[in-house]
Amino acid sequence: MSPVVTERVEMDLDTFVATEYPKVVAAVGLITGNRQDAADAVQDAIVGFLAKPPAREISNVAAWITVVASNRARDLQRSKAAEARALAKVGVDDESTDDVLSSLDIDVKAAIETLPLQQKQVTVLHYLLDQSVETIAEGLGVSEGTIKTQLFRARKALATRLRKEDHRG
Amino acid sequence: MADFDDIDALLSSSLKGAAEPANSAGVADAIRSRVDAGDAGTSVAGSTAPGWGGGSAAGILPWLGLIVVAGIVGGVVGVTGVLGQPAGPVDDGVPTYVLVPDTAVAYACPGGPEAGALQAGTRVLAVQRSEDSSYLGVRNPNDLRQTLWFPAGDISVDAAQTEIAALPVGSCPEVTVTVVTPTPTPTPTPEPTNEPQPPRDTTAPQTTKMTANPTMVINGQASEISINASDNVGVTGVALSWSGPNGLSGSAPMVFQSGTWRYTWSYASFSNGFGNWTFTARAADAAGNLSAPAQVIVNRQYLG
Repeated sequence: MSPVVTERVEMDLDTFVATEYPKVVAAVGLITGNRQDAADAVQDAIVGFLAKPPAREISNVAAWITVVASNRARDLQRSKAAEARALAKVGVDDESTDDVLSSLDIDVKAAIETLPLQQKQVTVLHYLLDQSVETIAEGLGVSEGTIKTQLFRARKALATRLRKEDHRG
Repeated sequence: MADFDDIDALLSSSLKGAAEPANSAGVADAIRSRVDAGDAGTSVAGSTAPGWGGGSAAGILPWLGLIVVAGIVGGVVGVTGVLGQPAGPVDDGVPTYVLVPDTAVAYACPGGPEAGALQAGTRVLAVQRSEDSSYLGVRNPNDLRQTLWFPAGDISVDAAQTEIAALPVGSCPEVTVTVVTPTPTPTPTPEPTNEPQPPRDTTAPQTTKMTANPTMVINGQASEISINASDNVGVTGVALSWSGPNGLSGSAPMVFQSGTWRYTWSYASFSNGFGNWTFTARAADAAGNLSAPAQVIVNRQYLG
C-alpha cells in the first residue's frame, strides 16, 4: 500500500469520526433501540470498511455504515435474546438493555418498532440523517425505486398507526 | 400520492429529539489500532449494502450462530442435576451442551495452550468444531467475545451429531517456522502432527465500557475512572494515563475490583488544571499485547 493511500484513509477516518460518527451511532441506536450495541457495531463496521472496502467506491459512507452496523446490532440483539431466554431457564437474571428509545415519544416508538429492519433503516436515514431518496439509493447501491418503496411502506404503516393513536387520544 | 406531511414532521422532530449524538473521543485512534492489528471488523464487501439484495453478508453469517446460552448452573447440586440429563435444544433451535468433568480445562484452540477452566455444569454453546470434531469451541460465558476449546469428550451434548457436524471448523492459528540450522540429510522426516506447538499469543486484550463518575468534578472532587478488560488468555494489568490543561499529566495502574478495573483520580490545586482532562486506558496481557487505547474525558471546574 502506498503512503498516499494510507494517508488518505486516515484523513477520511478522522473526518468521518468527527463529523458523521456521532450521528451514525445515534441512527443505529434508533434503528436497534440499543446505544451500547450501536457504538460497538458502528466501530466494527468502520473497521471492516477500512480493512476491506466495498467492491465499489461509496460516496455515502454514512448510509452504508448505518446499514451494515444496524444489521450487525440486530444480529447481536438476537443473540442476546436467545441468551436471555437460556439464562432465564437456569434462573440467571438478564442484564437490562440500554433502551435509547425511552426518550422517544411512546407512540412513535411503538410504531417504529413494528417496522421491518429495512424500513427502519430508510426511515432513520431519511428523517434523522436528512438523506434524500437519491442519496440513500446511491449509498446502498440499490435503485431509487427500492428506497422509495421502502420509505412509502414505512410512512404508510407509521401514518396508519400514529393517526389511529392520535384519534384515540 | 398519499399526504404524509404530518407524519414527516412528526418523525423528523421525534427522531432528532431522541437521537443523542455519540461521543467520538478516541474512536478514530481505537479504530486505526484495530485496522493496524489486522482486525477485519464487519465485512462490508460487495457493491450493494448487506441486506439490500445481493449484498455480501460474508463476515456476518459465521457470526450469526454465536449465541451464548451459558449460565453457571452453580454448585455441586446443580451440576448433579444437569449431568447425564442434558436439556433439549433451546427454543430457537440453537444446540446447547453441558460440560461433564468437575472442572473442565479450556484451551485457546484445538490442541493449543490451556486458557482457563470452566466449572462442571456450565451450560455453554458450541460455535465451532475442530476438523475431526475431537474439540468443540464454545463461547466463554465470562467473555462473550472469546471462544474456548474443550475436548469433545468433556462436553455432554444436548443436540444431534448432525448439528455438531454443521458447526464451522476452527483451528489454531498457523505457526510460522523459521529454520535455524539446515538439516544434514535432504530427506524430510514427517513430524508428528497430533501435538501441535502452542501458538504464541498475539491476541490483544479488548476493553469496553470506559466510564468516569462523575464526568464533571468541582475543585478537588474525585472521579472514579473504570473500564472492563478481557483477553483470550488473561489481562495482567490496565495502565491509565491522563493529560489536562496547563500541560498537566500523569499515570497510574488501575486496580481490579469486583470485575472492573478502577482508579480514583482527583486534582487539588486551586490555581490551575481547570477544564477537560483526558484519561486513556490500555489493557495488557502476559505476552505484552496492548489493547487499543480507550478514552474518557472529565471536566474539572472551579467553584469559589
